Amino acid sequence: MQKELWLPALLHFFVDFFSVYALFAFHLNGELAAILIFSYDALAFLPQPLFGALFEKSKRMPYLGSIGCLLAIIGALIPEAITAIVFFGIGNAIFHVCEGKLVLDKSEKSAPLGVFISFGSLGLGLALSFSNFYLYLSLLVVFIILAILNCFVPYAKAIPFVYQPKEGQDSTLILALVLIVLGVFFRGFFGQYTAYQWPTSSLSYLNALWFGLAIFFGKAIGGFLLDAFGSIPLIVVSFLLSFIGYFFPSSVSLSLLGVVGVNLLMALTMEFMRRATPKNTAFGFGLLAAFLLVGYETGYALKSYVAFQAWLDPILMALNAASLLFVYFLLRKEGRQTSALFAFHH
Amino acid sequence: MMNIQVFDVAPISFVLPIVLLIGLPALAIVCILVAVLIIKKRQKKANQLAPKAEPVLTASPKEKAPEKGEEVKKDD
Repeated sequence: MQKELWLPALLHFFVDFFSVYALFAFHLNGELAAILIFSYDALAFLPQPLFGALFEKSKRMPYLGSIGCLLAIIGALIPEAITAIVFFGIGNAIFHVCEGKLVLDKSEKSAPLGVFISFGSLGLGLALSFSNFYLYLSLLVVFIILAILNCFVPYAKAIPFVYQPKEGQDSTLILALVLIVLGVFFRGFFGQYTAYQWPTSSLSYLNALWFGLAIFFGKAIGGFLLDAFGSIPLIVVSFLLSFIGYFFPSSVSLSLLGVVGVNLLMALTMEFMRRATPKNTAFGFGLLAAFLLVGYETGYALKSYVAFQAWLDPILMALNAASLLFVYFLLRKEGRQTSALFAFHH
Repeated sequence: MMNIQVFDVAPISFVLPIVLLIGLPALAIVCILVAVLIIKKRQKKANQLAPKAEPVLTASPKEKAPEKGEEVKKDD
């Protein structure tokens, strides 16, 4: 992985960390908290396809990414919840599509895709599990420095390997894109629609951190595994781990293994997406983010208002794996493969 | 994405299910539709700006290039 690609990943950590940490610092409770969280999520995730389409052809992607960081920094300094949420939400959306596109277009391999996404989960997990004002201020200073640095890294010159679709393979495969989005929707759904029965021990207050670390680990190694073994083994391993986690909801370790399994597919999803729509990677990235949220909130709504349906998760897990396998064959049929992505096949 | 499980969320009024099940997906669809329109418009513009393909000139049988070994007749 090229060293320049660590910077977007680090910035992703800070953007997600500050967005969540600062909102928690308002100590909101009850329905107002729920409404503000939904508002933040809606602002941060749903406009991403729109921002992606708007900024797709910009040649100043790092600058736009830094503007996203700047909005998050302003949000972190505003002591009023609603205004802060607007800054966090819009800053987050701009940052994600711009830096996401940068990583998608500037990395030949899949590992950087997973690493970029994983650092956000780490920031989220940390923000949910600790509280220290001095550490907050110190991290804010580091965040500002890195956001400025991001404007001066010559990504175009520094990174020799650039993902380029072959001639005649740069049109959008709509069916593949729909199936990829469907898989993301399912993963968002059962990310929320799972009945963990963890014992309420002393560990329980660290649950958010454990979750964050499991998600981080799954997303981070997913890209490396994809580069090493190809997509079919990754889909199979992810499916098996998810199933193990599902059948042992009372075991903390096996549940976390399931969480790792589900998140292994993140890099593969992004890799498939950039091959399905190589000319619109920012839009594609935004599309995945929007449907992750829609799936997540649908899962939350179903869990809140209807009796829990235990049979639903394994069916969705199987559908998720099936849809990704179908995308794999679709891309192969269209000749949109690389040795890394299709290592298993060759 | 923030995990709402970590909050002590009070019993939710009838507004939130509507927001969750109708509002958010509707907003997502609107954003996606606008994005697709932007992409389509950009593609259309790019197609209009692209140089038109020049007509392919095919040599008439009379002007056919001499084959190997064939003598070239010269006009007097």
